[in-house]
Amino acid sequence: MPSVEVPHRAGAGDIERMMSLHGRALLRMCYVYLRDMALAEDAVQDTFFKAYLHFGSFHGLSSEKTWLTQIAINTCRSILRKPWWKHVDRSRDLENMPMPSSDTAPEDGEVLRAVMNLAEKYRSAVLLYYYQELTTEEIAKILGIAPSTVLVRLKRAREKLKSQLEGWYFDE
Amino acid sequence: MNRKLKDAMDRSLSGIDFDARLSDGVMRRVETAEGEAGIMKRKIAVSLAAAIVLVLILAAGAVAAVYLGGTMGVVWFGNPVRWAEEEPIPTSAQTQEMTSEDWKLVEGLFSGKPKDEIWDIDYDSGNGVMQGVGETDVGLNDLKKRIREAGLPLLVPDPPAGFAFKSSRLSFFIDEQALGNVTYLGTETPYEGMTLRRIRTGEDIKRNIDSFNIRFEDANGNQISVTAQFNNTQGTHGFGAREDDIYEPVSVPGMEKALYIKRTGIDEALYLIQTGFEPIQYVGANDIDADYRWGDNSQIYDAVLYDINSETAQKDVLLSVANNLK
Repeated sequence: MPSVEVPHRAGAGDIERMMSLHGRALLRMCYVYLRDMALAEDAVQDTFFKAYLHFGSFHGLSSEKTWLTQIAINTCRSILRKPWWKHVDRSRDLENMPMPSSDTAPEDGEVLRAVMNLAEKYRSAVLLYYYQELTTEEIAKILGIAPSTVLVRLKRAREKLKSQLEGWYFDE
Repeated sequence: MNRKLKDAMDRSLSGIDFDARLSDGVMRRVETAEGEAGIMKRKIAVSLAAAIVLVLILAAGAVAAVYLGGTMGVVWFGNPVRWAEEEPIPTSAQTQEMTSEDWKLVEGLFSGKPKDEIWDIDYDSGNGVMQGVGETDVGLNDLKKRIREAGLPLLVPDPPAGFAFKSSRLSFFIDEQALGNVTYLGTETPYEGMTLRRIRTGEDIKRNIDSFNIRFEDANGNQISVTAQFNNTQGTHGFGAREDDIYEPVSVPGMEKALYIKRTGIDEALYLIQTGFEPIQYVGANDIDADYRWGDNSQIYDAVLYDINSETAQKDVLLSVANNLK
């Protein structure tokens, strides 16, 4: 039987560094995307483990952040596509979410709620563009769509959010 | 919309952190895999299933999205629907990369916008953002007086028992009368690929309340949000919902339709649509230019959409607010 070359894996130090730099943002992104804390924790841990396994496939053509975000988004999508998804208690545990810091304004919760209420394709675009601050080109590659489609989705997401966040969208 | 969105989300999510528990979990899997890697190097065969998984992971960036099939929602009569995925609008326009740097520029521009001006920013790619004329913290009695004097059909809520007025925000539309005091200031190119259209409005625009948002709050900080927005009955009216949300049509006097939705773990909301008033003609700011004449591309409001929601207040309280709209 043929021998198989094991892919180059990251060292423990690489993974610890990546988790330190990107763990918080990815966990929050996965939470907003999946709307479930337990699944978000699974998704982000899976992300870093996959990054460890396939570090050799990261050729530096994108930033490490973009690469990890790509893995995280695809992991989240895989979770949403599982046939058992419909039967799992997916109640958004906003009430059980760790309390935010004291300088949180009531409007902040409104913003979070509005984003979480977006349809998946708009939610992913908003998260990748505004929260992860990626370019439209990077988003297009992650989502497997044309850059122009990214722009269309962002525009429509803004229109949907605008109607809910009217008071914060326009200045007085 | 700009970095404010990220900052607001981060503040709400500030209690969520990638802590030692999660990182330890990853490292345990890494250590286990390290042990298995040694075994793999001594083995010759790789199972077909593992090879498929490996290929899929490596090709993750190239795999196009496969959705379950549409967006879940519910329409006015409480029937769940799944809207078909919309085809992206093909465009021949040159795609301009929208970066967060672009939005920082927009934010910087808007910070200098005069309060009586509408600014409409468009990119060559067709993307755009507008900031209009608004007003905040208008009291309930003042709001009711202004609506009555303007002859608008908007209905204003009173705070339910235990709640008090906290804040309000208004926006305005341009009708024929207000158009008389509107001045098109022209276009500028503040940055390459960005066009800024400026429109100055007169004070009388504040007679034409386009929408309002009112917040009530009780002694414990629980809030109820009430938004009224002029609308058009020809538009698609449906609301996002998941399959395990609770939704039912309800009856509210004076409203053509009313729908209650409980989004598990998020909030409870009551949507109302009011019709039966004389349609209101208006012009969108993005249609105004130097040659604009009243009637060109003017649009019509023939409905008011109300959104009453709260993260804490329940259906009976929301209904009491709806039943007291006047």
